[in-house]
Amino acid sequence: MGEWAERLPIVTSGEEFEQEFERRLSESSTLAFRVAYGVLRHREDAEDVAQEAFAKAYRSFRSLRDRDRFRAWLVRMTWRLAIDRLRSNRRRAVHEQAVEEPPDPVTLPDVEARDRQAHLWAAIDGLPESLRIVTVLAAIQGHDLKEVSRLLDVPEGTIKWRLFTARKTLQEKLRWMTSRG
Amino acid sequence: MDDLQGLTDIDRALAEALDVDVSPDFAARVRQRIAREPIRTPFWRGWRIAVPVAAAAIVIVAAGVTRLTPRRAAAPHTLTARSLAAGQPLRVDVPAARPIASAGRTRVQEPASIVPVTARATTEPEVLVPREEIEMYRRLIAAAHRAPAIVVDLPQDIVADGTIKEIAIDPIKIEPIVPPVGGEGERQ
Repeated sequence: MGEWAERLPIVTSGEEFEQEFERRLSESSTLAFRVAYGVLRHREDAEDVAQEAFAKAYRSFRSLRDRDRFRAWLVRMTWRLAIDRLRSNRRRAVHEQAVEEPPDPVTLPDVEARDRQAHLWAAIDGLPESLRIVTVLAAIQGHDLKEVSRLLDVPEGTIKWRLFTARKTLQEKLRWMTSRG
Repeated sequence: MDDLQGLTDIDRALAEALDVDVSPDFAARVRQRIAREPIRTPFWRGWRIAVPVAAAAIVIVAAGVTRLTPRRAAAPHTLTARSLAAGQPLRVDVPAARPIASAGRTRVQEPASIVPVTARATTEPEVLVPREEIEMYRRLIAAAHRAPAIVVDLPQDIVADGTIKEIAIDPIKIEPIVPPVGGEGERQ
């Protein structure tokens, strides 16, 4: 019943519209933030991008009332905005000849873990974009193939193949890390 | 088995790397951002206003132009233009020769279908002339070539006497104007 209610076109007043958006915001903010973080690896930038994605979603919310549709749209929009931000940051860094920002201290408790994560992200960054987004989405909130397929609007078989290819590539690149335990 | 363990390690490491939470005031910042950003109307809504306004402006301008332009009685002429090359003969369609009646004599004109026309210079600008006017000039030129000299016969009385009679003119009488006697303001 709940899922049916989500899919029905609802004619609501302004107040109900706001409440519905609030509900989507609270249930999808972590997803959007982690997607952005998976690209940018910088808390403030990731939050900024996720906020921008939500602001855009609000403007198009009348056509995004459906929960699944909203989440899929939000993930794709956040990913795209994050990629744009990353490119812009790189351009700016090259322009200003700035040193790379230090890793996020929240997620890096010690030197060894920091080293492992740096290698992991380097390996993920080396993947083609279509494989990278599948890998990141599969690692967020324990998404299964079906959920990733729904979020990206790509057939489940394609997602399965992409995930397999991505994992195989990562395994080859990070063999030293996994063999060391 | 090692491969499977390796995959699990990578997945776990990735899941840990992405296990980050948004700041508590994230929702509040999103609301602030939405409130701060101006509401942009979609372009098709802009067209809804722009198109009728443009149409109304065109109608007003057209009405003004129509009112200011003086009306012409006749229908506009069809204008034709062509340049004449120097020495090129101008073809004129002339009706068949017809007899010209004069006193006692009848002459027959030779048909002149091709009339040589020399243009002054090829560099002259083209002039737009109404078709009817061109036809008129053609006929005029053709007629002029057809009858280069018109001989008019003398009246019969002159021919008979052989002399011209004197013309008698009466002398002109001038009468002075007499002023009125009773002063000014005399009623008639």
